[in-house]
Amino acid sequence: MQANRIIHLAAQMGRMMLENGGETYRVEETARRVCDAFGLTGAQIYATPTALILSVTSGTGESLSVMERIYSRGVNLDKIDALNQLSRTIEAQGPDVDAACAMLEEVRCRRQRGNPVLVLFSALACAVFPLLFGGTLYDILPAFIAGALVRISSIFLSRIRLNDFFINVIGGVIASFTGWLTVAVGMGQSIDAITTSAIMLMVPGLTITNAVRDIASGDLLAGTSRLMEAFCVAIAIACGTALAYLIIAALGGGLR
Amino acid sequence: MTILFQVIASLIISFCFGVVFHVRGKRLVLSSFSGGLGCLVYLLPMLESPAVSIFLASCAITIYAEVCARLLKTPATVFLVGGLIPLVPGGGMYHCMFELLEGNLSQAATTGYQTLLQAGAIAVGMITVSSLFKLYWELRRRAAQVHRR
Repeated sequence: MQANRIIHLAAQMGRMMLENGGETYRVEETARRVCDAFGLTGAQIYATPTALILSVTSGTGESLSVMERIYSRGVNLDKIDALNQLSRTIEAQGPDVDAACAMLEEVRCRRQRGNPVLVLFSALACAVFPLLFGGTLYDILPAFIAGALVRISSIFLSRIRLNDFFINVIGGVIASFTGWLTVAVGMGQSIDAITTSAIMLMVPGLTITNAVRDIASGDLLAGTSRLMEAFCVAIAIACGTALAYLIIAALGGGLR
Repeated sequence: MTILFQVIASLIISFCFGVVFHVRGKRLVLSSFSGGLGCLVYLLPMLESPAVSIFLASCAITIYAEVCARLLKTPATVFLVGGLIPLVPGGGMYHCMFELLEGNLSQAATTGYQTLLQAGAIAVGMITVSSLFKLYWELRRRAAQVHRR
């Protein structure tokens, strides 16, 4: 019975890590550390961005395995950090499943920043980008607006469960369109700088980072699938800007 | 002067992305410095090619992140992502698509090639440094074992 609870605890921790943007090797290491701490040595763990499989042999010689399918992949580095700490605490404090489950629940309920804060800071990041992309001070406000719109649309669209590809296509359209419109009405100066700034919000920074770290640590399958994910995001953004280009051309404008 | 300006801009960007990725407390402050550091290395005047600059910037950020990770016992990713995002060639991607639509195929191919090269440079920089760090810790661990015997 004990082994059953432990393997579920390890699986839940691994799952939460994968859902919040943890690297594959860290997920496997965390789950293994938990199993080891409770005396289930020799646990076999296999994690990919979309699934986690755990298999252990209990003290009585039974094989137990759990598989967790991962559907949503967000970014919450605070939780990754907390889970990492938790696995070390479990290792240090010794086996107590109830306490460990309580601590896991605490991590699950950790306060997150609300959507308004996310929108505000995304927009602020976008507002600063024109300075790096050769824009002028006039491009700051339009980039702020474009960034806010892109983030709001992605929050809204993921709430109605649109797939990630299409969310990024729409993001690309909004970025280009806002860039064009603000310059057309005389608010901004460089369509280029404004659009690129807004696009930077969707750029798969964490996915690329994790893909590279996975490949470096030998998790080839997980690494390549993450690279593919990053590539798909790039394609989606490109499709979005292309779509906006065509719409604007049809309206009689140009992006140059 | 412009360098200082751009470094501060990168710092702010990394800070904002840190907030968006739910990083907290002193980790947030440290992760924003990685953006400033990356930008500083990227803008070093003696580097000719953007890919080389990006490679070195990515190396610098990874070194910084690995050291911070050790000191604070926090996953290195927390300090990496914020710093790397300003380096990701999002602009190149956009220009490539734009030139393609305008019908300037050779221009599109050039920007596309440069974009891929720059993205690759980030990856190679990160792999190089984190592998070296892994090697270092492994060697230290072994040395400690030998010492104990």
